[in-house]
Amino acid sequence: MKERFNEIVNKIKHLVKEGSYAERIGLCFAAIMAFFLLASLVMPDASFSDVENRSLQKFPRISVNEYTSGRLEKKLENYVNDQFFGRRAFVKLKSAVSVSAGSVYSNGVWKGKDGYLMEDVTVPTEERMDETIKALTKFKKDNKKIPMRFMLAPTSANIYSEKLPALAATEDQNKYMDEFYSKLESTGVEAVDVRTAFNSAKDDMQLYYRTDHHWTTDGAKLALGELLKSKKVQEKEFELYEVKNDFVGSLAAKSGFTGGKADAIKLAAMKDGKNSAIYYFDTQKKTSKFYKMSNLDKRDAYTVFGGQNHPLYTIKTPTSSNRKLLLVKDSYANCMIPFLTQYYREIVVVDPRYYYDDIDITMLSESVNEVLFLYNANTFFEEDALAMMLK
Amino acid sequence: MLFSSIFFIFVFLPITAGVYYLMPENRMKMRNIWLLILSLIFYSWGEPVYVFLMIFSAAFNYFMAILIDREKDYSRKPKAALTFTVVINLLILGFFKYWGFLVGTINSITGLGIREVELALPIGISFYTFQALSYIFDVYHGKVKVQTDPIKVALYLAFFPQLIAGPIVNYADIQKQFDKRTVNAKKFGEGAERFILGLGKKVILANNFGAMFTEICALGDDRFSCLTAWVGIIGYTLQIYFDFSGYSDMAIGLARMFGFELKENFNYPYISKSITDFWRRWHISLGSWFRDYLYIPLGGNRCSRNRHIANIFIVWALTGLWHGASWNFVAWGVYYGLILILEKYVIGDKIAKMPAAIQHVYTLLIVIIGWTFFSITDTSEMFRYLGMMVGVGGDIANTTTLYFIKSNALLLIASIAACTPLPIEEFRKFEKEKPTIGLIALMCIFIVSVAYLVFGSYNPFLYFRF
Amino acid sequence: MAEKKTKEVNKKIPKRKSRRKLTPVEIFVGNNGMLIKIAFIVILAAFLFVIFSAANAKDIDLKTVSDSLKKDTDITTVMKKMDDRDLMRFMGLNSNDYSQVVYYRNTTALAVDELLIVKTDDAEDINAVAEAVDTRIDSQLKVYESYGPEQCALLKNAVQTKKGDYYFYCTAKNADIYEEVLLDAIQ
Repeated sequence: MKERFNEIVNKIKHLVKEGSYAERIGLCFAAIMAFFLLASLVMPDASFSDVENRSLQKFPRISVNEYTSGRLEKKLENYVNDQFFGRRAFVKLKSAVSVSAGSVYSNGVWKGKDGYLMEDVTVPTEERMDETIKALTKFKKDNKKIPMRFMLAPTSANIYSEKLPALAATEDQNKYMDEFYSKLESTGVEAVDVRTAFNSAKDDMQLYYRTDHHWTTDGAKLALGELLKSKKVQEKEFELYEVKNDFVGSLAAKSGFTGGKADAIKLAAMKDGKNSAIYYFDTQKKTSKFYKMSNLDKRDAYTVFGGQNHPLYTIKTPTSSNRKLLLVKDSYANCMIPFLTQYYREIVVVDPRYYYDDIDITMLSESVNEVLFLYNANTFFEEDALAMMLK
Repeated sequence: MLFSSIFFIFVFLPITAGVYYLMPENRMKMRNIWLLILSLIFYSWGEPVYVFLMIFSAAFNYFMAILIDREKDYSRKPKAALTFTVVINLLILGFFKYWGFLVGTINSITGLGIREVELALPIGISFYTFQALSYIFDVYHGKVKVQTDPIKVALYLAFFPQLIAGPIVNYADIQKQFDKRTVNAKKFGEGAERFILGLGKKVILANNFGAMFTEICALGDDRFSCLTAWVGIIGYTLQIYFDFSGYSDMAIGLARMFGFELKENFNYPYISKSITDFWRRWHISLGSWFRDYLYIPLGGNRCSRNRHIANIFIVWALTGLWHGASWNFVAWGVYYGLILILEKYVIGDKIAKMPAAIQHVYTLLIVIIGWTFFSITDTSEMFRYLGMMVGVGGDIANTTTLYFIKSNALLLIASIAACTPLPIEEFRKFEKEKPTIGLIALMCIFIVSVAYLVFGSYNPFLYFRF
Repeated sequence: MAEKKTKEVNKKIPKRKSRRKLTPVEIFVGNNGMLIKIAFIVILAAFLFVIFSAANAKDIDLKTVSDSLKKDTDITTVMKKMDDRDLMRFMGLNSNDYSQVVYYRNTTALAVDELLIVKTDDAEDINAVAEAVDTRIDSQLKVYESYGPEQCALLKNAVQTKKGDYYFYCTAKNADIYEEVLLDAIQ
């Protein structure tokens, strides 16, 4: 064995010095294979990818049963893929190559003009929309006296469609939003349509982040204005403070595109505003801080607006109002909540994906007298949780 | 396991090749056994249960070939043994691949409602069954000597480079290589170069066109248009060529890395000047198999004209059926059968006299339209697409058309060029003049291909429903 | 003695055309052709039978299965029928992704009994369900490992079966009885 080994080592040495073209190719190829195999083996396994926001596959459990079902093989392949040496560099390389070749679409994200990355438009199925309308109808019927509103926010690719790359086209979000709003009329839930206001204001202020799928605080404030108009309530004065100016959001990570421009994140505060008490039911913790300032340095800085993954929490603010709002939402509402607190004595915030109690009971126990549904069109058209919760 | 995966390139291949080259050079038997073990692991990776079916096929054909040889030697009735063997082989192939299709067709004609059992298709069964049959027929006709070493028969069927997607290797072409083959760094390097080029074709060219074709097929009626449909099907035309020929390149390259020489499976089919020419350049190993083992035994063209036409018909219907258990594949095969008959008896001479440009356009049009039958299994979808290609139900062109052309412009130009022998010939010249840069270019293709593979596993979960 | 044996052996070997030396395998095969053919047919039939019965499952409405469970077993004394939200909450599965789902669970405190039957039309989905069930069992085991020996025992003996388009999971004392109900219906 040892002789054979030496034999080979000498052979390789000879090839490196005097190999023919084909032999050199073989050598390089073998060297690259060996390098990445060894490097991936030697480097310790990473357990989490913060760029992708998911945990990476660990070395799987080996069992005969797992092998015969095919699950072990898949896990091993995922393991090798996830722990491959230089993974991030390769992702960047691929993006660079595709962009140079003219690609403007990756993983559901468009590479638009002016440094805008925009999420592609998702469309609902007929079935899903009808299920949701049915659930909303029932919910309103069971709570006849409580005024309910639905704000379906358009997304960046809709409002800033002129910034989509040349010749690109998405599905028509407006068509489906119109369909939803017209079906909403029969449910008794009032529609709050911010599209007109957004389209008028879009050139004067930046309504959406350039590399994230959320609207900016400016966009949220504008939407709030429309909500207040529909309630015929005076808008209060808020100051916006810039707390970060190099925010690169979710879409940059999702697509791998590097050309999106960084943005500023603004937080809102009202002069003479009242402080709120926030109570999370699942962790039973109290706090008076909306904003998780330490999250500004994290991968997903949008989480500074807090409220992640809690099924139910309440915000009590000693305002002069006696209104108590039930807010059923997705993440778009997070940067709007700080505004909302100054208009309601209490806001009960519910996330249908994690909330498993009976919504009617919660409403009763918190004496809710108003309901607002706040979703962005992409998330709303794809999810089932709201219909399930209201059924 | 796919060749175009990180696991194969950076775990399976280095281990297989590393141990192979470590083994002493004159120990061919040891090397064969190692290859067989790794090939079985490779196959069971995707089919943990069906690996036993393949082992059964190897054992069965091994024993049957010996029996046929003995029957011949003892002047008994080798034909009985031959028939038995062929029937069992086809039965296995038929049952796993075509049972559902047969039952479904019977049900829709008679309305009987026989239960269709959903059996997973064992991968590569079409390939290894045809290889087994080629071995059996060649033993029967005395074209090859029967192989008494079971390792070599098993390796012939299971050899991982060509097991999953060909090329179909005739036993006669490879039998000597099991005992004696050249294994050295030069061949390894040549194999590596071929593998890298095949990998690039599949991962950089084919996959991107595949994505484009899927996007186009998914377009709603309002965004579809005639030219967009053409752009789509041209994308598919390029995809299937680079996918299949890329895989064959990788197979040939891998085989060469272990010292085996396999025959070419593609010869620039898209520069063909007639459909007859096309089928001498596309999936050559399948065409030759059907010619040698079905067409010629049926009489080929040495018979009456009607019989000849029937032969072509049968062979091409079966060629279509071989590709998939669905009527659209049969239609595709019959489509080519008809055109070949026409070329043979009606228009062939006229086409040969046309200027080259017309010959190319004629061939490509027929091929591209043929791919519509092949790519779209659902009949109503297929007719919708075909209708769109002739302008039914939409505009001639729209911005969507331009979008797809623009965002794939570089890819289209590079690919169309790569359909001709020109780029490779130029590259070979370049390699001779400037070997170092050639080497670097080759490794760049390799690294970029790996980047595409890694990106394929990049899977951000960004609480997007949040 | 050796002569006698050679004579007998010579009687077995028929006249040959070729002259080369035969390997023992060739001799054996040449003399026992029929036996070998039969052996292979038997092996193949056995293999096909195994594959066929593992994949074979009648296309039935799971409602008949849940009716049988209610009528013929004690399941209603142990568990309650759950709805889609509970399925999402406890098993992490979205009922919209599958053709049909039956989910029962014991809602009393500190109980681990549950039953899940999923019918899909996509073989890929079965793997996703199997994964979800594995995750569920693992997390339940973690919860009860320090103070619930009975619960752990039940969880460790949970029945998990895949057949055709159906996946069956049950943690309960009579899990095998409930499984029989499903298997009877689909076989």
